Amino acid sequence: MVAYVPEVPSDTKIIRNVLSGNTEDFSYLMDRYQNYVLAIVKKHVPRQQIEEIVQEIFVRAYQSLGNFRETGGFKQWLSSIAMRTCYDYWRKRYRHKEIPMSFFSREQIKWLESAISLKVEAEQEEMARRQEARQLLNQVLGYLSAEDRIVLELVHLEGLSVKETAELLGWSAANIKVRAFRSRKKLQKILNSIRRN
Amino acid sequence: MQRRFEWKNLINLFRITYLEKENIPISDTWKELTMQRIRSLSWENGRLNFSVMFEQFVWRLAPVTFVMILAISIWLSSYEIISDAEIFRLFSFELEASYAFLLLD
Repeated sequence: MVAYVPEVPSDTKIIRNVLSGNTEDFSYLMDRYQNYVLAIVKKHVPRQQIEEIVQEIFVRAYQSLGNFRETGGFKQWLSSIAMRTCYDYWRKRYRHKEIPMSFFSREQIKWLESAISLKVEAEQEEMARRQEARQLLNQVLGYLSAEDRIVLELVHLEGLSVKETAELLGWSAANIKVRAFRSRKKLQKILNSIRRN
Repeated sequence: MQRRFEWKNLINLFRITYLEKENIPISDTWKELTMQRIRSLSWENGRLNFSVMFEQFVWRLAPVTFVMILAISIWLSSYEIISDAEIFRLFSFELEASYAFLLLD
């Protein structure tokens, strides 16, 4: 006896259906890629903005579905839209940014001092999961420009290659290299100034 | 050397902190809201693209229109075409005949 396995429609088939007017079929693509997109967004935007940005990403994907070419695959195409939407969020936000060189709390400075000299891996993990770490990282990233921030996150924190980052953001590899270097230097400078203070 | 170690250590810690963000719990309400926005967009697009759709529709009807024009022309050509002047002449001749009849009386 052969078990009946329902046929899973390919991305291309779903896209064709959506383009021919079956709007509801777009929800299959959302179900398929929601975790992937959420994982990207959660890392790049503040918690309270996640839902709004995810919505924006899928709406943008729907609107430009006609421009999708099968060569690179839907996942890659969607992740590129996701990254650019996150970048746009920061760009808009930085336009109205008031950066009070907000003072860092005593706990954060203490965390920084003890984190720097840690050698045991298990202790590092425990240290990294603390609230001070999250707050400090968010605050420090807030001092970088939108461009430097997104490159620093992708290259230094996420560990993507220059080429991968360039493809995701649609920028040149040379630009990414320069930004990666510059953003790292800026981050070091900020952290040093916190320690000095 | 010391500075290099410190930086490496710190970036490792921040990397863990950064990747931990993936575990933030999110409700599923965004999905329904997204589909609502998409539905409204497709409705608006449908309204805006009415002229485009109409053009497509017209072109699809072109072969049918051609066949209809051909059939009507054949049907018309099977009849004798009488010009207005000829009809008028025919009637005027009948009128003249009737007047003549009256005059003879």
